[in-house]
Amino acid sequence: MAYRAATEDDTVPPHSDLRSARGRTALINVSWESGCSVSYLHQFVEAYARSRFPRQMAERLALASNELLENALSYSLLSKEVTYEMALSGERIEIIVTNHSVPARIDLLQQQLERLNENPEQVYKDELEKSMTQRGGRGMLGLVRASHEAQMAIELRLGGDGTEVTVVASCRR
Amino acid sequence: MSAFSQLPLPALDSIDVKILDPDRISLSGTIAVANPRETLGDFFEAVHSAVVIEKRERISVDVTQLTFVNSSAIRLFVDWASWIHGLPTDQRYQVVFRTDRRVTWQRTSFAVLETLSKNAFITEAQ
Repeated sequence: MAYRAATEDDTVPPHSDLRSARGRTALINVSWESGCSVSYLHQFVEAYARSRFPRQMAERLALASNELLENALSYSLLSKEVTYEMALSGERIEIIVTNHSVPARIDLLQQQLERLNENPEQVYKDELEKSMTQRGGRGMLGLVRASHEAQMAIELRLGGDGTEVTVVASCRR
Repeated sequence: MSAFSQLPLPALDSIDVKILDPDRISLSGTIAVANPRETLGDFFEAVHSAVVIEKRERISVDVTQLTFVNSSAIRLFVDWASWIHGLPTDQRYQVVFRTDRRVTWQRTSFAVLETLSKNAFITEAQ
């Protein structure tokens, strides 16, 4: 299994919080290498979230985690690491996925997010319709689901080197 | 022998597929693999072919216990609706999805899928 999970005792799933150096409480922190199983992380996140949060919140967190990580792995530079974190920040829960990608892809992601933040429900319908009519290129259904289905606010943070991109999905606890 | 009895069940560890009777299929578990098309997509296509061969007007698919599907799997449902629309009008059939409105992905996805499918999909939410 090509992943490293950081928890209190480096076991999966974690049993207690991790105190992050960035001042928030990291619940799960995973460094990911290309080619590993997103399916495994989904089981891991859902089981953990169900142990801490109500069922629907756990489902939302697992859904957003799965979709953002799939996107990150699909569009990453193979030589760079992907990281995943679930964290508490004040009254919010955050899913934070970082990868490295080519500038053109990052530009596209920014454009997609602008469109998504205007009307998530309409973009969700548009994406499914696009799949049905098979028009257009590869869609953004995963990102839209993290926003519309998981009901999370999506934010993009760019690193200084022009290739690092962090997607933060957050919602109130 | 009915075409349904010969359906190849998908070899995917995270889901359990049952053919309960010729008109009723149940899917349970989760679909989070990167490319479910290779397994589940082939199964859906086989079901579609069996429905057409047997000239059925309706089939029921119970997804109430399918607690999560990724976006690649959502696209498989979209494909299924497209196959139905690709049939001559007199061969088209309906898929009745039994869903659980408490499950996040089912509540949001099937509301849109039903609309987009233009009567090919019907949702019965419990």
